[in-house]
Formats: sequence, structure tokens, C-alpha cells
Amino acid sequence: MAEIRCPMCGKPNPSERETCQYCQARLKSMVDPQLPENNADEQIGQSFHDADREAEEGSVPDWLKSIREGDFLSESEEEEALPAWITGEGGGGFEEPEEAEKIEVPDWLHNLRQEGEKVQTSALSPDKLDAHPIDDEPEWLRKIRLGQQGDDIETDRLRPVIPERAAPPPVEVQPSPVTEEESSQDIPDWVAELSGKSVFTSEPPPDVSEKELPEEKLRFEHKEEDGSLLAWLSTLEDEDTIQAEPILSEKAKEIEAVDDESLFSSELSGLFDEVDTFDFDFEEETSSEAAVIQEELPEDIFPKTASPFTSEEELEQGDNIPDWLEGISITGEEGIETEAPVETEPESEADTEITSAVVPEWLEAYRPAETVEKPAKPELIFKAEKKKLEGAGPLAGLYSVLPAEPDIAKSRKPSAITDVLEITEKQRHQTSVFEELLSGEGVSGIPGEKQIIAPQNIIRIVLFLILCITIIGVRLFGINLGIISTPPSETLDAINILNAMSHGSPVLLAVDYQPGYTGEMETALSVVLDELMVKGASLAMVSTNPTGPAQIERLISQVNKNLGHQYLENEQYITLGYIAGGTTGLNGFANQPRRFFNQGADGKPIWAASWLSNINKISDFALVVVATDDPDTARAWVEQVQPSLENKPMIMVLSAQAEPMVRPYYETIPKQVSGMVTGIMGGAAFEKIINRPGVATKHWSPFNAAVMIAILLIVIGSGYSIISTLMKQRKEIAQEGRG
Amino acid sequence: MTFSGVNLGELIGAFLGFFFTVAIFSYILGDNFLFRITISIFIGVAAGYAAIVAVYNVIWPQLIFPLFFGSQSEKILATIPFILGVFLIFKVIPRYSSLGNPVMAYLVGVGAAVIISGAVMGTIFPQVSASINTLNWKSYQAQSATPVWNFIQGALILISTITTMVYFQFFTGFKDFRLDKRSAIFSGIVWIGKIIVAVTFGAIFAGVLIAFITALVERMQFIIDFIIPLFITG
Repeated sequence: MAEIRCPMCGKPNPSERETCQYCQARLKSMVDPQLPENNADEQIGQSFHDADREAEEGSVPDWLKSIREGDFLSESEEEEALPAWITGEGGGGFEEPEEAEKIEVPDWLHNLRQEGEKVQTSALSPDKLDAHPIDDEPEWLRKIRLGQQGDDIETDRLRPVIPERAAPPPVEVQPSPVTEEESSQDIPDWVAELSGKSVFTSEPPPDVSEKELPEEKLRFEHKEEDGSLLAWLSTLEDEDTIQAEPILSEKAKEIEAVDDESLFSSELSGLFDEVDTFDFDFEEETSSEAAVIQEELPEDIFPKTASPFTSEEELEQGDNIPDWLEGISITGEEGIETEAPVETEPESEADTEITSAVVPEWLEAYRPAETVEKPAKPELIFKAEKKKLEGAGPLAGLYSVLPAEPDIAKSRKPSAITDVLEITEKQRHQTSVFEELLSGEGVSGIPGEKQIIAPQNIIRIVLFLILCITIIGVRLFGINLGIISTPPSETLDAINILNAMSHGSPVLLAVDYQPGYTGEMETALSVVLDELMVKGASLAMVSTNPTGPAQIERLISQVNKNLGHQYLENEQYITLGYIAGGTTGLNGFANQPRRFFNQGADGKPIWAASWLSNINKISDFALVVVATDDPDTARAWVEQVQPSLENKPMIMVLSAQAEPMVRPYYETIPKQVSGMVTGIMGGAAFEKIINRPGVATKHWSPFNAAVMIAILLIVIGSGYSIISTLMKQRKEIAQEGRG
Repeated sequence: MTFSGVNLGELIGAFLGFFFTVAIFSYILGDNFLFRITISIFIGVAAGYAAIVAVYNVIWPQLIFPLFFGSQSEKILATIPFILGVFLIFKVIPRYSSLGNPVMAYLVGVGAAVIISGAVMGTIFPQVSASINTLNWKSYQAQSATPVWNFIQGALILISTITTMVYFQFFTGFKDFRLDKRSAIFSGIVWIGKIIVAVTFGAIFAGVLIAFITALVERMQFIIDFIIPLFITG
């Protein structure tokens, strides 16, 4: 199966497809689908002999084959029919050099030129036409010609040309072989002036810039550049015009070239009307363009004529119009339904009314989907495709050709970005407030008068002095402010537990307070430690605080010194050390105390003492005493160690600030904390009960005096605050009343 | 306190104690050099001491000694914390800090498990049980000679607990719990809870005040005991 490779995407396609099945690009040339794609460029401008050869291969339709075979005259007949001014015998008209004609003018063009001369001759002299009838002329064409005798010459002249040029092959635009010098020899001056404006006669002088050229010439050149595929038609038309009416000026030729070109292009496009779905009033477009040019001409030279296909009546005069011509016939006043040629102006088509085309079913299946979905707006599709018209290269004249370069490579003007922030009025207000706040941050306020001592510092100094004087006065003057009459229940419980403990029982003492609370904690702990030493308890001391070991040494030394004990390390007491890991370490120590503290820093086994030999777990201790100032530490001991004590008592020696948080563990039933000794009050109560006054009793009177002063100061301060607030409010009320 | 029977070391210690106590009290006049240098010395000494304790009380006896001088089982057991500790050191190097993440995850996970289990078993369940038993008349009769007073005390504790918990409820799904649509009864309960919370904070503040006054009394007593012998024995 033959394949056609897509010129756009390069993928193979079946030979019968007209569009690529991958990229929808047109596979076959729009001008001559029979041309191979590889040498399409080379065959542009080929003569009709190629078409004849193709007709022999059977690819040319019958009607076209018949036209080509019958209507083309032989070379001898053409030579006879050529007027003298064309052949140069008469010495008039355009004299072309023989060599140039042999080289430049192909045979098909020469035949066509001869045919055009015959037609023109017959149109000008009916007698001559009767005397030399065209043998192969169709009957319908003859009727049309005869029926149009007496009408406008130009209209009759153009009609028989239509079937001859129904399917023209693509012809490369060839400049006219008639040079400017040759043409200027035998033509009048005014024709010579106009001839210089024709684009088909010669190239512009190299020294003449394009701006200096006449406007019309530029327009024709522009048309030639845009529609290179159809330029050969203009060349042919121009040639015919020259042969038929040598007396016409070059300007008239140009105008006729426009008419012929438009007419022939419309006819050509009519052939593609079945392929395309666009409705385009080409007649109106071309007529309007021709009318503009005709208005610029004098009527004596070029009488204004109507367009060859101005109405359907004129076409209906021919009875034997073939079917293929009926397919491209004019529909009413709307003109020929055809695909727009290159020369048409899209702006003028927008106002014309477009009728929908009758598309065969087989062709409708090939139409793009978007065309089928929106048949009501063909003009939009037409415009869209017209914008994508390829203007150069082998695909020139095709619509919707994919661009060779990607769109992203095309530079585009960046979209305009406004610097105005689109916000609401509320947001604008909030923004302004925020800006004011930010601007106020960098502005320093007016500094007030520098005061050596602020009033608050004075109050602080005064309060400190009051407390110090009170404490010193009570201490120096020996003022006894009494002692607690009724000891707290938690202290009584602690005393009862200590009293119930047997002599020499192992006790675990945790010193877990910060050095800053040593003054308060030792006030309460010293009396408890004194009682334990009196009971002869063996003390194993630990701490979850890194400074705990130092606190232990200080505590033992102070108790030994102040209370007359002689407790020795590693004999009566031992410092197990610091429990690392916080709560986790405490849990590990509670579960396996021996493994947690295996040996001391010197490498000696800690548990070598005789009284510790029976200690394998935490519940082997007769009592656990925890001295702490932190309620969290107390809670950790309660949560991690107390459940492992197996109903062994736990006593808390607490700072006054931790007591409210630990008391719930004492208030529970059963008690999680068996007893508490809290601060200086608990120590003083403990000393009173055991009847051994110690540090707590010594500090009790100054402490009571200081607390009373503190309470008094708090009351005075609160009263002053209330009174000042009330006075301030009354003052404000009074000011409001005045206002 | 007299200096007659005091050795030189105790004398120097007492002098330094007096100096640093006065330096700390100088903060009454505002932030000054004496206060700052005293604080710095205190922090430095405490940190240094903590480091020494960590080395001599934890690292050496519990890691280094068993690793190099312990038995075979002790060496194997000490290897695991040693490796974990090495990886934990990488946390101080930003480039390799991720190597210490597993160790940190282990520590955090174990710590969280211990704390949560201890809180549930050591605080929540016992406290809930105690709140339930506050109105157990039979237990009061068996344990206390004044069951009526204890019953009233238990009732107050229960009411305080309930009102305090109600005060901290800020549900929006229930009509009575919403601040703008609370009923009078519910508002009264919340008000009681607010009073209980205020009393609790007052008690804590009183404890803090007592602790500070106790420390002040102890320090003032130390100053008096340090100065008076100077003038008496001088």
C-alpha cells in the first residue's frame, strides 16, 4: 500500500488520504494534487503538456481531459491565428524576440496565447468567427458565445475562456519576455507610460525605489507576492488581454487582468467549492475591486462593464452547461461559492451574506469536527483559517499550515502589569493603620526627666528595710511571739511514723532542693534528720539534683555540729549519689536500686556496708524521706517511687511554696504521702512536739514578725490601691460633671 | 556565733557568705555589678559542681569503669549506652545531628512513657478515687474521731473539685457551657470554681511568700550571727 509522508510531521499516511491522520496537515497540494511532493517546487510552472501526460495516466477528469484535448489548437493553427502585431510581422504591438519566446515561453503558454487570440478575434468580428469556427468547441459554449454577440465585448470574450482554464496546473510566475525597451518602440507614448506601471512587463529599474513607484504597481506586486500560486493566472490574463486588444492601454490591461484573474480564480476556486465549506461572495469582491479601478479610467478607452457573472440569468442563457459548471454556478445574487483566493480582502467579506454550502456526504466525513459542530458560522472559520495562510515556501497558499517554529520562540510583548493594588476601602484603612503603627515603632518618645531612683525602687527599698528592721529588732531584742499551739496533722503523722520506726532502720533520704532554698529547707529538714539520728537510722542519701550531694554533706555537717550528732559517712550514712535521668532515672532507681548505683566514683562497691546488705529493692527501706522545694519533684517521687514502696511510709519535707500542690497526695485515702513537714512552721511544730528546740524555734519569732509585717504591708498596699482607684474615679466623675 | 572556736576555713566561708549575701541584697538598689558577679559565680560554681558530679557519679562509675574494667557482661551492657551516647554527641554538630535523632527518639519515647504511666497510676487514679471517697461516711467513721467534720471537709473538697473543673470548661457544643448562653445556675457554679481557683493561687502565693520570708529570716540571722561576734569579741 502506497504511503504519503506528511510534509509537516513526516509520518506516513495512506495515499488516498488528503490530510495527515496525525497532524491534519494537507497531504496533497491544493493547486495540483497530482504532483509528487518531493519535486513540487520543480514542477511549479510546468506546462500543460505535463497535464496532458497526467491525463494519459487517467488521473485527470474526463471533462478536463476533453477540454485540454479539444480546445487547444495545434501549433500551426495558432501561428495562423496570431495577429501580425503579436508575431511582429506588422511591426505593431509588443514585439518579442524569437529566441526569448523559445526560451521563456513554454508551449502550453504559447498555445494558450494562440487560443486567446482566436477568441478575441472571433469576438471582435463575428463574420470571421463564422468563417473559422472552432471545430472542437462545445455546443453549450457556442450558444453562449452566439447569445452574447452584440453585448459587451469583454463579457463575451471571457466566457469561452472559462472551460479552457478550468483546471490549470500550477505555473511559476514568469516575468514577461517583453522587455521595456522592446515594448516602448512601437507603442504610443501614453501606453508606454502606463506600461511602465505593469508588473508583468518588466522589473522596476534598480535605481528607482519602491516608494517612487505608482501605487497601482505596488498593489499588483503585492498581489503577486501574496498569491504566487495564482500569479500565473494573472500572467495569462495579461497575455490574453494584450493579444485581444492591442489598442488598450496598459492600465486597461491591468484592470482586465484583475477581472480575468478574479474570474478565473473564482472559477478555479469553484472547483474546490466541494472541498471547502466556506461561502464567499467572490464576484462581489472582485467586482467591487474592478469597479474601483474602472472608475479611474476614461470611459472612452475602457467602458464600464458588468462582471462576467453578474447575474444568474446570463449563465442560464447557456443551455448546455455541464454538470461540473453547474456546481460552481452562481447562486442568485450571492456570487460564486468558492474558497477565497489569495487576492481577496477579508475586511470586505465580513459584510456580505454567506449562504451555507452543499457538501457531499463523503466530503462531509472528512471535514474537521469543529467545522461540523458549528456550521452556522462558517465566516468565523474562514477568517480563522485566512489568518493562517501560508505565504511562502512549498506550502504557499495553504491554510492552517502548522508553523515551522514553535510559538514559544516567538517574542511577545509582555502583558501590562499595573502597580496599583486592588484592595477594598476597608483593607486600605487597615493598611494605613498598620503603617502608622510601624512608623511609630522607629520614633523615640520624648524622654522624661531622669530620676535617680524611681518611686517603685523607693517603695521596694522601704519595704526591705521594714522587714529587715523587724527581723533584726525581734532577734536583737529577744521578742518571743509564741509558738504553734496546735501542730498540723501532717506533722503529727510524720512524727508518729518516725516514732514507730525501730532503731537502726534503713532510711532513704532524698535531698532534692535547690541551694537557694537551703535556709528554709534546713529549718524543717534538720529537725527530721535530728529525730532520725536520735533513732539511730541508717541513712542512704540520694538526690535528683546535681548539687544534691553537696547539699547532703552540708546538711549532715550542720546537724552534727548544731545538734551534737556524730554521724559518719559509710557507717551511719552513705551518699548514693546523683540520680541522673530525671523521672526516668527515678523510675529505674525505684525498680532496681542496686543496679542503678552499682559502685562509687572510686570503684568501690556502694552496697558493701553491712546495713545495706539487706537492701535489694526500694521497699526494703523502712522509710523514705523526700526533702524538696519543687512540687514537680515531689509528684515524681510520689508517682514513680511510692507505688514500689509496698505500704512503706513516705514523708515529705517541703518548702512552703510546694505544700499546696503536694497536700492532695496527703489528703487521699489511702495516703500516698504519709506525713509532711512544711517549712519553718512544720519544723517549729515538730521541735515543739519532740521538745527539742532547734533552728526552727530560733527563727520562729522573727519569722512570725516578718510575716505579720508582710501581711500588714499587703493590706496597706491593697487599701491604698483601692482608695486611689476610688479617688481617681470620683475625680473623673467630677471632671465629667464639670464638662 | 563566735570566732573563738572557728578554723580558718570556716571563717573564710562565713566571710564569703556574708559578702555574697550583701551582694545579693544590693539588688534592692537595682541591677549592679555586685549582684551580677555574685550570680555569675553562683551559676559557675553550680555548673562546675554539676559537671564534676556527672563525671564522678554517673559517667565514670556507670559507663567508663564497667566498659574498661568490668566483667564481660558488664562490658557488653556498657557498650550499648556508650554507642548511644556517642551518637548523641553528634547532635551538637549540625552536619551530623541527624545521627543523634534515633537516640533522642529513644530518650523522649521512654521518658514520655514513664511520665504518662506514672501520672496515670500515681496521680489520676488515686486522686479520682480519693474524690469519690470524700463522702464515704463509713470510712470516716472507721478512721476518724470527727466524722462529721471530715464529711464536711470531704464535701468541700468534692465541691471545689467539681466547680473548678466546670470553670475550665469552654465547650461550644453544649448550650449551657457557652459563655453567652450560660444559665444562672451554671454561671453560679462557674463563679464558685473561679473563687476556688483564686483561693488556690492565693495559697500558692502565700507559700512562696513564706518561703522567701523564711529565707530572708535565715539570711538576716546569719548576718546577725556574723556581725555581732565581731563587735563583741573584737
